[in-house]
Amino acid sequence: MVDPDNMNDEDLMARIKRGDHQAFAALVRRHSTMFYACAFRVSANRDEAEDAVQDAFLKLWKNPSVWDATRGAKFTTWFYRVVVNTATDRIRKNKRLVSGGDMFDTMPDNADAQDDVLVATEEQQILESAIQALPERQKLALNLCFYEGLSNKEAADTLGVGLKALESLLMRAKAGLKQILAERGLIERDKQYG
Amino acid sequence: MDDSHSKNTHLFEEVMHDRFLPEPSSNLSERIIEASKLHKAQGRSGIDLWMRAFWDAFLLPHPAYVMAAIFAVGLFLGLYSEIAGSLDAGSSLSSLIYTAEDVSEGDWL
Repeated sequence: MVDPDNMNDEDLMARIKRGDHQAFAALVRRHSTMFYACAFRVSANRDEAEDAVQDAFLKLWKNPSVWDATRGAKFTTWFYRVVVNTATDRIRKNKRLVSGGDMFDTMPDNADAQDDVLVATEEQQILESAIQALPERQKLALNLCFYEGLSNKEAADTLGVGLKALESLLMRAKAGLKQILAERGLIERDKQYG
Repeated sequence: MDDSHSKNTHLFEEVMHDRFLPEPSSNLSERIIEASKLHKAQGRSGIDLWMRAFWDAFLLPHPAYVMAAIFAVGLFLGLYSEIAGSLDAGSSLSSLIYTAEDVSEGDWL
């Protein structure tokens, strides 16, 4: 019998559909850190990000038929969408509970979350709040292409938009960020921004 | 200007790459795996999988259900008005038809 660790994601999913818990464990061990990073970039909170990844994987385990291999998408590309949606839904729920305020205000009040903010340098905090202030789709496009290393095509598939629309989102995200970072003195103001 | 622009772009890339990302808890994977053991996965047995696949074969996209519902309502209304019409027509027709019971013997004689 083939060791699950030597199988590709799509074959592991086929086994998960047959109820193979070892295959599920292999998939979780292989990808949980990568998807945690993705969730953290959406929520900017470690506990929230970990819970979002756990929720996403549990949804997959409880109902693996949601993954349809015949659609031809890579497992990771498809699962990015699941994680991003799960993390975004959790943020929306939190925002409903604690209306108003910025991202860090909506986080659960615990020591770990406070540490996360304290460990980040001032420059990183400025960058984080600038990214979090971007419109949601621009932020997601930037996260997927710039930080998760997805190709533009994969990111477009993940977001459910066309390639041109994705490029436009990326361009606007970068322009918006450059402007904010220049205003905060992290980079020089480009001539094109006046 | 080109030089300062490319320098600025480089600086921007550097700032972007320096984005803060704390390590996840060391036991994140194990936590997820343990949590999954508490949840029973759906549709694992052979028969269950077969039944699900069989049922899925009959699944239609939502617009198809709506069209089918509209068609069914239209068909029902059409049939209903046709039946009601034929009943009315039947009763009015019967008033025009004379049968043996309608005619008394005296009239023949």
